[in-house]
Amino acid sequence: MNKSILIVDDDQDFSDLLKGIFQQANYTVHTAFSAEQGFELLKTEHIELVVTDHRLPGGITGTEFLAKLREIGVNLPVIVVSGFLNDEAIRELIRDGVAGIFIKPLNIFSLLKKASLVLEEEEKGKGFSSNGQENANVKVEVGQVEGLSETGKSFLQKARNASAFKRNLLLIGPNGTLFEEIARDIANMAPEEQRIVTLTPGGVNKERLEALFTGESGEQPVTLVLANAEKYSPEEVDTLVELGDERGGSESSLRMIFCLSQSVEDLYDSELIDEEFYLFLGTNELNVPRLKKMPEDLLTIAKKEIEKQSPETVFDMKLRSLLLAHDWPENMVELRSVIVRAVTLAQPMAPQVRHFAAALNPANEGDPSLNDARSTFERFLIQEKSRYESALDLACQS
Amino acid sequence: MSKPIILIDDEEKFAVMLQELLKAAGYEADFCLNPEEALERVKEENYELVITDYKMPQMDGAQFLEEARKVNPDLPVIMISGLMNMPELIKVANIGVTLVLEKPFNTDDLLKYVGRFVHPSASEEVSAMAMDMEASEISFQQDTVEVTYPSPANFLSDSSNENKRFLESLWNSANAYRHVPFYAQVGAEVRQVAMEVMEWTNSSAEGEVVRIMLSDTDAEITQNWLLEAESVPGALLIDLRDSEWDDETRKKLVDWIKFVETSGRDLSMSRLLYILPTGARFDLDQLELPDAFKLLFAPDCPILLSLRERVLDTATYISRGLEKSHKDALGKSGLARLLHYPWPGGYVELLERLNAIKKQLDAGEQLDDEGLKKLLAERSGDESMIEGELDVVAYLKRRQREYILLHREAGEDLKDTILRLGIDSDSVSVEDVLENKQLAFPEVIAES
Repeated sequence: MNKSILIVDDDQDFSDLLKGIFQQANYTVHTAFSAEQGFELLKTEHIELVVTDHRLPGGITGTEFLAKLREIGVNLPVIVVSGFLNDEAIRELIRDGVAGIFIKPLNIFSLLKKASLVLEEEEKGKGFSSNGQENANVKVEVGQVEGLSETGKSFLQKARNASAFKRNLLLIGPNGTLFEEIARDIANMAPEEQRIVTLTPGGVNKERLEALFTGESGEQPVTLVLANAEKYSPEEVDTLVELGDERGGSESSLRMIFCLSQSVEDLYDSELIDEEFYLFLGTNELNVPRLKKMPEDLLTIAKKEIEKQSPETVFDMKLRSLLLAHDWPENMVELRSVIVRAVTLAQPMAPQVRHFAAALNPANEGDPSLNDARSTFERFLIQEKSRYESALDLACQS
Repeated sequence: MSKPIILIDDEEKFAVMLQELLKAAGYEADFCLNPEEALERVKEENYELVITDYKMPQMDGAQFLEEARKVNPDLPVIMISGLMNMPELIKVANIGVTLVLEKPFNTDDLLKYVGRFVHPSASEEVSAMAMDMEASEISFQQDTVEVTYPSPANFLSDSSNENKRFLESLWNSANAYRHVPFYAQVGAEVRQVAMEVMEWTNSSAEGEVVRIMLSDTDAEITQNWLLEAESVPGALLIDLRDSEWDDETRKKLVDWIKFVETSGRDLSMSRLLYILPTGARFDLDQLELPDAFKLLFAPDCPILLSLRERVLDTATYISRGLEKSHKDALGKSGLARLLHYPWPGGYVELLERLNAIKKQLDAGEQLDDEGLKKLLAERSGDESMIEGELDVVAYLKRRQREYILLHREAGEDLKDTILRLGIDSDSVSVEDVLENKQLAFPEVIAES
């Protein structure tokens, strides 16, 4: 398909010249003789590139035209052609993201080359985003981890690779891991739409499992998420193994994600699972890192969670340092409960750092200052005043 | 992880100035004096922003930009330059420069653009300032910190709650571990820390404190000393503050620990104290140490705050350092001047200035406020820290300024910071607070 271009220039001759050149190069050309006309055409026509003169009728300059376009949210590439430009105007054009600047007399070939280069790059850029859209059903985060930290990034990569599993996936995480959310995110990465069914120990029986494969959606692939997978009774394990042997395998429509607190090797060695189950589970393991090991992700997750609970909260450097310094032995579960506690402690105000500090260390929850509506800043100055007075006494003592 | 910004300028002075400007606004930046080297680094590291000069001897900004675009077409590049002519400007515009600022440029403009491309990262939080902030403010038991170490401390001042907490943490670590890390700034009273630990280990604190720079730990002379010394001192300072906290430093540290632990020396009565640079984020798991050695390493890293955060300790050191006759000669206002000064050079600067004061007074010379100011300025060279009245309001204004700067978000307008910190803008003018004309909470003074 022809590329579509808008030429904005009040000089009829020059505009015709440009039009001819671009038409010869197989562009669909629209022409406007003023900025206003240009804006109108941008509304009605499909345009991919704008080439504009710098001096336009009505006293408007190419710089202003570009700035205006950006202001109304038009991010099309713009090439400015001009007889003269002062340095300040060039800097402004750069600031507003001009795609190219050409000074008359014009080198036609470099203008055409630039135009095609710019459109090529736009295409590439779009290519990225449309790829992004194709991948949109492959969620870019797993258990809220976006891969902003090194550890988080490697986890996300491993999760992506692991998501193509055919039969069993072993999800191993530390205390307080939100297994179900992670398992769901991974299951949802599958190209086919999945039914995701979570089972807990005591909830596995033959009838229930059989029911999954009958009825209207019986044909649709199922991912079973088995919470607390080391806690199932021998009978339940038998049922699962039987079902897996019957329906699992490469062509199957059944996959299972087992949520475990330690590796199957360790579980087997400490006799928490028997040999049959051990062999059935396989070795396709995915380890969830500790929250503490993913500082950048921790901050982003905390920010989102806090916004959900109390949008007024100031997520400043102080709060971030506090969150980073904590060890988070109970990981995500702890993070969520700390946030809820801090919000509760501060009610009806938005929580301040001191409320988070108290939520992290319950021994401080009785501190009367938590109900103090004065800001931390004011309290700081009060404290500093009394310190200064004591210090002066101390220095004068003999 | 690398820093988010790389600065390129063949003039080191300008690069350092820019680095400091960015740092003050909360951004970490590397700098490079040679654009060719910078290109290599851009290839290797994931920078989020380049800020470069245009005229450089090895290649100009346009050439650099062209090469950089090949590596990363989307990398934002800001050019800061003296006069560029029109063809040069058009050239860089056509290669896709992000922004061109002409020297002298408006720093707020620059910061505004930097803020658009660079987000504050977790690693930035651990600047020395953030540490001061983190450790000093959350005090729930305002006036009482319960301690189990032998108190009062003999060498390090523990008048401040901050130092009480520091010593308590150090005491707990020293009781259970042989290798004990802590953070401190250059000029901090680290020898006093070591002497305190020596007391705890029942070795004589009178003996000289041995301080080893980490860079010396693989030197034969250091290793021989350790192997041949009559006994290993009760506390040994290993100073890491002159190194960047990078792989190389970590390897050196690991090699040193392995050397010490396999040296055959009896270390049971010794504590090895590691002084970490305040910008480092220490994580024991980053050290490739055998587990057996890791178990000897204290997991906590207490922070010895900068002296400006601990006015009570400053007062203690002043009181200790001067005799009654000196204090009488200085008078209350002279002593107040010493408390008002923020002591950027830490304990080392304080001690040095106290000696200078004593020398002058002992020689029978007078020291009025002007004289004191001059004496303080001799070393710091920055008179802005020495000006001002000598009352509690003036001191609080200094502290309020420091507090606001500490709480500034990356790229944030200071006025916004002040509003965000919650002042009552109906009764207090933000401008006045910003210009240090007024306290953000005048009632703090009125209350008493």
